[in-house]
Amino acid sequence: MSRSARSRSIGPLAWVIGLVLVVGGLVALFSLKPGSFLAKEWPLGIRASEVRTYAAWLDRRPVEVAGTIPDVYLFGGSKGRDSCLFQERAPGWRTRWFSTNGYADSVRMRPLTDGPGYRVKFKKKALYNGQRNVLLIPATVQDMRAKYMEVLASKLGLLTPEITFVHLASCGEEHAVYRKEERVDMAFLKRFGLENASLVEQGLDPTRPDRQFVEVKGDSAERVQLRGTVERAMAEVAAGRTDALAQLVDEDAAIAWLIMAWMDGRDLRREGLVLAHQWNTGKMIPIYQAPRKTVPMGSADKDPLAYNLLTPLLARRGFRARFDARLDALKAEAPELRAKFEALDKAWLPVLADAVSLPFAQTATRQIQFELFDIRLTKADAAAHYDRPLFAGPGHGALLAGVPVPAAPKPQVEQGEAVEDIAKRYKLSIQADTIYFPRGKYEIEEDLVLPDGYSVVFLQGARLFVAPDVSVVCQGDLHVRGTLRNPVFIRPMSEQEPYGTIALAGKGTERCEIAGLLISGGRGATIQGVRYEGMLSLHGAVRTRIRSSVVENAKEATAVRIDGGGVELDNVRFEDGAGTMLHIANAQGTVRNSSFSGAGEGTTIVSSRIAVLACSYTGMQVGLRADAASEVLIKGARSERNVNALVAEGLSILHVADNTFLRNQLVLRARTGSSGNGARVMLYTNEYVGNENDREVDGGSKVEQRDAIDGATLTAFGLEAPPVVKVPTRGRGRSRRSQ
Amino acid sequence: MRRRKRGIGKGWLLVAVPLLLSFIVFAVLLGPRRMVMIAASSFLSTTVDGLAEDPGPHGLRVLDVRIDPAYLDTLGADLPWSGGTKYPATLMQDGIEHPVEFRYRGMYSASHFLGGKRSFRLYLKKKSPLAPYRKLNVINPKSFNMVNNHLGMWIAGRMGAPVPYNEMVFVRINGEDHGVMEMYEQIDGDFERIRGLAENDVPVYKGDYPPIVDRGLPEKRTLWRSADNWEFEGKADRTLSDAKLRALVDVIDDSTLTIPARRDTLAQLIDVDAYARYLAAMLVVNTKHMDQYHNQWLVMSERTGKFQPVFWDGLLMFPPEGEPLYFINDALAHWFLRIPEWRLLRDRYAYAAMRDLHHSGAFMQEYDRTIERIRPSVLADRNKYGHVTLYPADVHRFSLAHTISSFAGMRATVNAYWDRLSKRLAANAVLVERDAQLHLNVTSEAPLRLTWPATEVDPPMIVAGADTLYPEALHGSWTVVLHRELGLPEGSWDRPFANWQHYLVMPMDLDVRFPLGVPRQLVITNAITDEPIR
Repeated sequence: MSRSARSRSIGPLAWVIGLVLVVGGLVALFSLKPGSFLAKEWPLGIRASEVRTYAAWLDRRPVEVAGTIPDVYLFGGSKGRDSCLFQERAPGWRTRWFSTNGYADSVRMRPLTDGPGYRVKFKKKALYNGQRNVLLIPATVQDMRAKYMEVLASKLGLLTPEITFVHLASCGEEHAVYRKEERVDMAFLKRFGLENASLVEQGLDPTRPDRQFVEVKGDSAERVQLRGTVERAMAEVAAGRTDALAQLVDEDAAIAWLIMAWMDGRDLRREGLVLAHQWNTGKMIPIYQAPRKTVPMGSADKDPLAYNLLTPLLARRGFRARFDARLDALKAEAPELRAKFEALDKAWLPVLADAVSLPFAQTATRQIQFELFDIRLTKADAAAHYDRPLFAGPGHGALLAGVPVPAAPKPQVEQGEAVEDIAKRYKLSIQADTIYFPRGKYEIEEDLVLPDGYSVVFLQGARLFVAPDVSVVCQGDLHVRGTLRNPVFIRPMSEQEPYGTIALAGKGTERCEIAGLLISGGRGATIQGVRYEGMLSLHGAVRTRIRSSVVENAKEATAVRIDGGGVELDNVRFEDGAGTMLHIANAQGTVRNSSFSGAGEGTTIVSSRIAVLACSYTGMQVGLRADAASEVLIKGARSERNVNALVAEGLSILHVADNTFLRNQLVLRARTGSSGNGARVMLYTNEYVGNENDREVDGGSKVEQRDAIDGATLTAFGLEAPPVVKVPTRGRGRSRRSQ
Repeated sequence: MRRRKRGIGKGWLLVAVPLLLSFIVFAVLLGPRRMVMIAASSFLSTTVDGLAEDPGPHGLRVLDVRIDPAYLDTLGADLPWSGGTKYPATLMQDGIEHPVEFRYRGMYSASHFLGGKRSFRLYLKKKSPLAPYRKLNVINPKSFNMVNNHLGMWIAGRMGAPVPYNEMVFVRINGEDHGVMEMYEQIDGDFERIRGLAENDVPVYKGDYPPIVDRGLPEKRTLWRSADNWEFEGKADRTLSDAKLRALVDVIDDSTLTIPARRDTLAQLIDVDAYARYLAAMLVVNTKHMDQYHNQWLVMSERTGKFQPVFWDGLLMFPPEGEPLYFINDALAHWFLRIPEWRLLRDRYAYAAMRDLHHSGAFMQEYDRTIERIRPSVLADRNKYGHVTLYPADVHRFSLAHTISSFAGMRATVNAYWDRLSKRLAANAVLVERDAQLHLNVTSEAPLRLTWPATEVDPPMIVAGADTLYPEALHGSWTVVLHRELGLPEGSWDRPFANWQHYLVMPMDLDVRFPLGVPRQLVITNAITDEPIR
C-alpha cells in the first residue's frame, strides 16, 4: 500500500475539534478531580506553582463560599498633603483620616521598613476595637496560611494577634486586600491581661551583632535584670545545661510555639522570638506571630541559630517527648482542624480572590493544607528540624564583659544541704519535708529562699524581724499557725527601713494557710528574676486562705498580693497602707468580714471572679476596683468617706447589692480602662446616704438597675442561692396528709 | 578536484596587525607578565561570564540606590579627591524611597575608586530598612572570591572579638546592576547602643591614616605615639576616655616599666580578655592588615570603663611574612605578648577556635553556605572589578573563573594554615628527666603546666631555673605554668614602634626543684591544649 504523496491541508474544523478536545480534557481533569489531588506532590519535577498556574485557567469547578463582607479601611490624604496613600513614596509617620464601620478619626501611619505594608497607630483615647497599633500587609491567597496558623496557635493555647483581611481604599480608589494583624507591643500584652509583664525580643540570627542581646521593653532596671537572667540561661545552655532555661520559660507554651514554628515554614533566623516575661512568676511565655515570609521545607534547616530561649529545650528528654506527644495529639485533631480550615476558606477566599480565580484560590489553599496536614504534621521526628548548631552573636564573648549576670543556679542535689544549713543558722526544726519556725525571735539578715519540696510552718509566737530589703521566699506550701491572741509577727528590723517581701512562689499546686498573722513594714522585691510586688506576695498557690490577721503599714507597695488559684479571706484587717491593700489577680473566691482603712486603694481585682461580702472601706482613695475582665460581687459592704467607693473598668462586670454608701465623694465610677473597653455594672438594692455624687459613667460603660440578685449569679460566685420560697397554691381539695 | 589556493584577505590583516601591535606596545609598557594578566582577565571576563544563564533569584539582600546622575558625575570627576562630598540619594525598598546621603569612599585602596565598581558610604535616617545602622560602607570586595573579608570578620566575631556588622549585598544603582559588594558598619559612638548594651553613645576612637585635607596623601602617623593620633567618634563625653587614652599611650611609650608594673597598669585601661580574643583572631584569620598606622578602633565599654578593640578589615589569609606565632602588629601587641599569662590566654583562645572552626568543620560549613548564598549574585554580577596584578593601579574587570579559582584556593590555603597552626599549638616536643629534680628540655612552642596532688595547706615554693614560683590550688591539686621565654630574630629592633616584628619562642632547658623532691603523681600538660605530655 502506498500513501498518497499529495499534501492534505488541515481544515479549520479539524483545528477546532483538536483544540476543544485537548482543552476540554484538561478542564475536565482539573475540574473533576478532587482538590486534594491537585494539591499533592507531583512527580517528574512538576512544581506546585506550575500546577497552580494551570489550575488558575483550567479548574472551573464551582466553589462554595460564604457571604463575608470585609471591612473597608478608608484612608484620606495626609495632613498638609493631598497625596493618596498608595501614591505616597516617602517613609515616616503621616497623619491621615481613617474611617471604617463605626469608627472615624485621624490616625498616624507609616510604611513598614522590613517589608511592604503599613503600621497604623490609633489614638490612645480612641482605640480601634481596643487595639492601639495594627499592621496592614498586602495579602494574597497564600496569606490564608497565616489565618490557619492563627487558629492553630489559639488551639494550642498561645497568645497570638488576631488576623483578618480588609480592603484598603484611598482617594476613591479601592486597593488590594491587606492582612490586618495587631502589632505585638506592650499595649497588646495589656489587652490580654498581662499587666505585669515585659516584652522580650530575641534574634535567632547569629550573624547579626545588633540582635545578640535580648531587647527588653521595660524600664532600665528591668532591662538590665532580664538581660542578665537570659545571659545566665544562655551560658548554661552553652555548657550543655538547660535547667536554668527550663526554669525561665513556660514549657507548655514553648512546646506549642515550637510546633507552630515547624508548621508555618518560617525562616527562624529571619523572624526571631517575641516573649512576654511575667514578673510575678518569673516565667517567659512565647507569643506566636505568623511569619512574614515562608521558605520551602528543608531549605534553611541546617543554618545555625543563635543561642535562644526555646530551641535548646528540645535537648531535654522529657521536653522532647512532650513535644512529640503534643504533635501526635494534634494529628488526632486533624479532621476537626480540616473542617475549621474549610470554613475559613469559605469565609475568606471570596475576599482574597475574585470570582473568576476562586477555583484557583481553592487549589492554592488545598496545597497549603496538604503541606500542613500531610507533610509537616505527619513527618516523623519533626523536632529534628531544630537540631542545629547554636552559637553566640559576633563579639559576644568580649561584649559580655561587665554585663551583670546572676550566679549559676545550684544543682538540685545541693538543696538538701542548703536546707540543713538554713535550719542550723536559724535554729529551725526540720521534720521530714517540713521546716518549722517555732516560737521565738528570728532575725533574717539575708535573703532566705526555702526550696521547693519543703513546707514551711510558722508556729504561734514566732517573731520574724527582717533586715532592710531582705526577703523570705517559700517555694513549697506556706502555713502560718497563729491566733489573734498569740500571733505570728513579721516586722522590719528597723521601723524606718522596710524589708522586701514574704512570698510564696508556687507552681500551681502549693497551699497557703495563714491564720493569726500580724505583718507590717515590707515593700516588695525582685528575687531570682521574679517580682513580688506585695509585702506579702502569694503567687501560684492552688488555694490561699487568710484568716484572723492584721496587715498594716506596707511601705510604698501593695500590702497583700495574691496571684492565681482559689482565694478565701476572712476577718482580715488592712490598715495604714499607702498603696493597694489587697490585690487579687487571676483568681476566684471570696473576701469576707474584712476591713480596709487608709489613704490608698482597698481592693483591686484583676482578671478574677471574687465575691466581697460584708467588708468595710473607710477613708480610701478607691474602695474597690474591678479591672481586666473581672467579675465581682460586692454585697453587704459599708463604704464610708472614700473618694471613690467603687471603680469598674476594662470589660469588668460588677454586681452591687445590699451595701451602704455613706458620705463618699463618688459612689460608682464606670469607665473605659487602658485596654480601651468599658465596664458593666448591675446595681441592686443599696443604701446611699450623704454621698456627693452617686455615679459617673462614661460612654463605653453601662449601668443596669435590677431588683434582686438572682440565684445563678450567686452560684457563679460559689455562694448558695437563697431558698426559693414557693407561694403555696391552694389545691382543689385537702390533701390526705394535711388531713 | 583541485582546491583553489586562497590567500589571507586584507581585512584579516587589518585586524591582526593592530592587535599584534597593541600587544607589543602594552607588553613593552607594562611588562609581559602584567600585560598577560590584564589581557587574560579581560578576555575571561568577556567570554566566560556571558555563559552564566539564569542564575536564579538573589540569595543576598538587594540594595537599590537611586541618585541623580549629575551628582555621580560630580563625585567621580576627580577621584579619589572628589568623592568625599555627601549628596542626597534614596534607598528604594518595597516602593518606598528612603532618603539617604551618599558619597564615595576610600583613598588608600585603588579598588575603592578605580574601575566600574566604586565603593561608597550611605548615611541613613534612624528608621530605615537597614536600621539600627546609620552609617554603612558599601565596599568593592578586595579579593576575587569577594568573601575574604566577610569571612575574616565572621571568624573573629565567632571567637568573641567585637566586629562591625558585615553583610554581602547585591547593589543596584539607578536601576543598573552594580554587582556584589560588602556592606560594612562604620563604627561610631552608637557601637554599644546598636548592640543593645548602652542607652547612649560611648567614647570611640578611630586609629587610621590622617584625614585628607588637600589633594595628596598625608604622612602616616604611628598611632600609639600620641593620643592625638586617635580620632574621637560620636557624641559621648570624652573627658574621662581622653585621660585614659593618654594614660594608655604613656604606658606603651614608657620603656622603663617592669613587666608586672606594665601589666597591672594596662589591666586598668584595656579589657585584657577582649584583647586576647582580638590577637587570637588575628592569628587565626592570619592577617597583618591592622598595623601601627591604620585599621584600629577602640571602644570604651560603658560597663567596665576599659578599652576594647574592634576587629576591623581583617583580610582572611593576608599573612605576615614567615608565619610567626607571635606577630607584633602594633606597639600595644609588643607589650601584651610579653606578659606570659596574657599570651597564654590568647593562645588558648586561638586553640579553642581551631577546635571549634577547623576540627569540627564549622568554618567550612559556613564557607559552603556563603558560597551557596552568594552564587546567583556572583553569576549575575557582570561588573566584577579588582586588582588583577600586584600593581595598585591595575584595577580591572575580572571573571567568574577568577572567583571560582579563588574560592578553591582559599579553601586549600585556610585548611593548610590551620593544620599547621593546630599542630604548632599542640606540639609537645618535650624531653623529661626525673631524679632529685625535674629536667625539662622543650623545643616546641607551647608553655607547660605542672600539676600534682596537694598534700600541704600552704603552697610549696618551687624553683624553676633561676625563678621562684608559687603554685595555685586547683581542684585539690597544685598547679603551675612554666611560661616560655621569648626573643626577637637576629637583626630585629626591640622597640614597640618598630614595624612588622615578631617574637620567637626560645627553647627551654630547665631544672625544676620541688621542696620534697619531684612529686610522684606529677602531671605535665601542654598549657594551651591541656593535653598531657607522655
